[in-house]
Amino acid sequence: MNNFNEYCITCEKMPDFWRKSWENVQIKYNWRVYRSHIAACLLLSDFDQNEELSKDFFDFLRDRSLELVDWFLSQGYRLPLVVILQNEKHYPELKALAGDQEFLRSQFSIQPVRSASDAEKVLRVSLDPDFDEIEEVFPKTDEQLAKELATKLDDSSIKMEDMQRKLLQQVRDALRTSSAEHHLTDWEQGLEYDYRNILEGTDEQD
Amino acid sequence: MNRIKKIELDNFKGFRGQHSINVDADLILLAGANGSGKTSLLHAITLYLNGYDKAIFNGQELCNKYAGTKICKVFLEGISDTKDVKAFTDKEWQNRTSVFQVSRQNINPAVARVATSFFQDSVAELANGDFLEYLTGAGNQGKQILNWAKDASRRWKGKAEFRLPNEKNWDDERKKIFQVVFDRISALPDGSSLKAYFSEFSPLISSGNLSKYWQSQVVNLSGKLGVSVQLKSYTSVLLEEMITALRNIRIDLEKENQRKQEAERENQKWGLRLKNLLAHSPEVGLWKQAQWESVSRELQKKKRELEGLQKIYDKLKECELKTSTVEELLGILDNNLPEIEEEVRRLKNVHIPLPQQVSELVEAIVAFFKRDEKTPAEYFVDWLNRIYDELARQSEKIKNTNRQIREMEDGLTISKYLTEKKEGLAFLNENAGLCTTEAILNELKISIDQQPNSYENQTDNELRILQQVEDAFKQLSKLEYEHEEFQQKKQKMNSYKKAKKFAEIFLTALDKETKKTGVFQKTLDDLNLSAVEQGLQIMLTAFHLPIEFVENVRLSRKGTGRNAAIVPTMNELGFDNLSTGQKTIFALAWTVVLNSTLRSRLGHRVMLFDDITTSLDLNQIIPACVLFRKLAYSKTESNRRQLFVSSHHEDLTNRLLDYLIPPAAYSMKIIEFKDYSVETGPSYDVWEVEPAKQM
Repeated sequence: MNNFNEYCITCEKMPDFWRKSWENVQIKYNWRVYRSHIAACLLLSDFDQNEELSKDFFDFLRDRSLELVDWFLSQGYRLPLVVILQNEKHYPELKALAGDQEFLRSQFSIQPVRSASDAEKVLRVSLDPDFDEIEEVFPKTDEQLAKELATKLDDSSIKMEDMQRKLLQQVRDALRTSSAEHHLTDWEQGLEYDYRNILEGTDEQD
Repeated sequence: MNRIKKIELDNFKGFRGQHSINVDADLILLAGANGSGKTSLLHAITLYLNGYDKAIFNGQELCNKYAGTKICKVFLEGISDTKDVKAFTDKEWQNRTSVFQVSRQNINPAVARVATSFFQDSVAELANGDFLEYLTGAGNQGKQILNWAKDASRRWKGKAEFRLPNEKNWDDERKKIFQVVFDRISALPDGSSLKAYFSEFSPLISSGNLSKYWQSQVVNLSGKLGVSVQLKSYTSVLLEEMITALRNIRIDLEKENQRKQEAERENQKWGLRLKNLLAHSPEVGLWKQAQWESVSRELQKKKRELEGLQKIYDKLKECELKTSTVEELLGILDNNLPEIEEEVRRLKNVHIPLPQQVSELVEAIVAFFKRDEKTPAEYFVDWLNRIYDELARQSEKIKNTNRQIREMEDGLTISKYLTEKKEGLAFLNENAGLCTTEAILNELKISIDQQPNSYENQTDNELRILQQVEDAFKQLSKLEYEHEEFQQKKQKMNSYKKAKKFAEIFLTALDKETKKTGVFQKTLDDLNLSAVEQGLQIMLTAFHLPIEFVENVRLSRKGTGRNAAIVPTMNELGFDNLSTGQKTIFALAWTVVLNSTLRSRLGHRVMLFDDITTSLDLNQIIPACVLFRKLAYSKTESNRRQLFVSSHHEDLTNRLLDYLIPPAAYSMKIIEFKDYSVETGPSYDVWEVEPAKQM
C-alpha cells in the first residue's frame, strides 16, 4: 500500500477514543485510515480467518465508521467514506453486508474485496485526486483501413480468388484517394470495356 | 471556454419569460420537487451543447406554449466563442446542431448527448448503435465503398444473366400466357369442379409480374392435374405431361356430359321431353309405326358400333397412359447421348476393363441412336402423335355415332309421341321421313318454351374454357422448348460464354465483399474496444460492483445494418437482464467513459446527471459522489468537468450536498427550485456553497 502513504493518516494522528476502541475486539485484523480531497477510506485487512463474523462485529464496524465521518467533519472536512473489507473467507457475508441498505443508510459505503490487489484498486479509484482519463478512441481513418487491408492482402493464410484480390487491391488504392467511389467507378468502367471486347470477340484479335 | 458561466433562457419549456441563471462553479446541484424545472434546465444545456437529439426531444414542445410566441431561446455564456442568441421555433430547433459542430467530426447528437449527460428517463438510451456507426463510418469512405460494391453487384448481375440481341423477353412471354390462363380460370362458372385444380395456382403477383416461385406453382399444378410425381422440376417435358393431363380431364368431362344428358333425357316426361327434343332438333326423322322395329334394329346396330369404337378408344388411351417410362428412358438417352459417349470413352481408359455386357449395351444404344437422321426418341414422339391423332379421330367417330343414336332415338320417341294424339297421328301419317321442327310446331300448334338445357350449357362452357387453358399451356410448352433451345445455343457461343464467365467472376467477388463475412467488411467492422472496456471496468470498480462482475465486462458488435450496435455484457448478462440499479450504474459509467474517450471532439467539458438518486441503491450514492468529486474537483485542471447534478428526494439531496461539498479552492452552487407556476415558470434561488478547509 506504499502508493497511498501520502493519503494515510497514521495511527498516532487518530483520536485516542477511536484508536483504543479497536483494541477490545475479539477478531484480529489491521486497520488503516486514508484521506484525500476526494474521499476518506477505512481499510480493514488481514482478518483472523478462523473467527466467525457476528452481528456485534458489524455493529461495532458501523459505530466506528460513523465516528470516523464525524471526526473528519469536526476537522472541517465533509468527505464520503468508503470502508474496504479485505477478506477471502468471509467475502460472501461481507458482500451481503455491503448491500444492506438499512445497515448503511448511505452514511458510508462498504466495499468487500478478496485480495490486497483488489483493495488497492478500490483505494486508487477512491482516493486518486485526479480523474484518470481513458485512452481516446477514434474512428478508423481511410489510411488505417488501407493499411489493414494491405496486411490482409499480404497474408497468405487468407484464401481469396484472383478477382476478389484485385477488387480488394482496388479498394485499398481507392481508400488512399479523396474519392474512393470515383476511383472504383473508373476501374469498373475498365472492366466493362474488357467485358464488351470479350463479348464482341475483339479480345482475341487484340 | 469549458465552463458555463450563465444560462440564459427565453420561453424555453416551462421557463416562461426571460431567465438568467449564474452557474459559474465546478459543480452545480439542482434540488427541488418533481416538475419544478430541473430536467428542463438540463435539457436546455444538452440542446445547446449537443444539438437536437430525437431520442429525448422527439414529440416535445420546446417553446413555452403559454408565452404567446412560438419561438424560444437558449444561450450558454462562457461555453463558446459564438454568441448564438437567436430564438428558434420548435421546428427550427429540430434542425439545430451543436455549437461545436466543427470539432465534432461527425459525432451525432445522440452520441454527444450520451457522452455528456445521464437522464433518468433515458437510462436504456445508450446510443450504442450510433457510437458503432461513428467508430466504423465517421472517419473513412468505407460506407461509400460498400454502396458502390452493392450498386456494381446489381449492374453486373445483368451482365452475368446476359441476353442476346434478338432474344425474346422470356418472362414477358410467360406473363402473357399466365394472364390468359388466369383470365380463363376466372371465367369458370361458380361451382365448377374444375376450379379445385387451379385454386392455389398463382404464378403472377398483383402487379402482373411473375411471382418468385412461379415455377413451383406450375409444378404444384401439374401434381394436382395428376402428372407423375417423378417430374418435380419445371421443364418443357413437364408441360407436355400437363397438356396430356388437361386433355384427359377434358375428354372425361365430355363423356360425363354425354352420360348426364342421356340420364336427363330418360328422366323427362314425354310432353316436356318432346318440347325439349324439338327445341334442339332443327329436323326430325319421323317413322310410321310399321317402321319402328327396323329403326330400333338399326339403333341397336349403331349402339354396338359405338361400343366397338369405345373399346378401340380405351385401348389407345391405355397405351398413351402407359408410355411414360419408355418416353422417359428415351428422353434421358436422347438428351445425354454426347455425355454417354464421352463417359464410355473415359471408362474404357480405366485399367480395370468395363464389363463387356455394359460396354456392348451402351455402344449398341449409341450406335442405334446414331443410325438414322431421327433418334428413336423422335420416332417415339411421332408414334405418340399418331396415337393422339387416332384418339382424336376415334373421339370424333364416337361423337358422331352418339349424335346419330341420339337423333334416331329422338326421332323414334317423337314418332311414338305423335301416335298418342289424334292430330299427331294424322301429321305423322302425312309427314313420315325428315320433317322440320317448325312444320311440326305449326301443324300441332304446340307452343314450346325455349328453355335451354342448363347443364349442357354450363358443361359446354367449362369444356371451352378447359380447351383454352390447354391451348395456353401448349403455347407455354412451345415457348419453353424454344427457350431451352435458345439457352443451348447461347451456351455454345464461345464469346458469350467467356463474357458471361467474366461477369460472373466479378459478380462473385463483389457479392463476397458486400457480405458480413467479406474481407473488407470485416476490416471495417474490426474494432479495438479494449480501451473502452478497461474504462468501464475502472468506472464500475468505483461503483463497488463485485470484482467478478467488473472483470467480465465485454463489449461486442451485434446485429447488422441499422440494428448493428455495440452491445455490453456484464458477467455474461446483457444490459436488458440487469436490475434497474445495475442499469443505472452501467449507464452512468457508460456516460463517463464515452465522455473521456471522445473528449477531444466533444468541444466542451460539461456533464449532466439528472435525478440519479431515483434508481440508485443507497449504498451506491457514496460511490457516485466519489466519481462526481473526481470529475468536478480533479486536481489536474485539464481533466476537470463542470458538473450539473439534479435530485428531487429531499433527504437524498441533503446527502448529496454533504458528500459533494467542494474542497478548498473549488466551487459549488446549489439551484434550489422552490415552486412552479404556469404563469411565471419556476421560481428558484441560487446558493453559493462554502468549500471545506484546506488539507
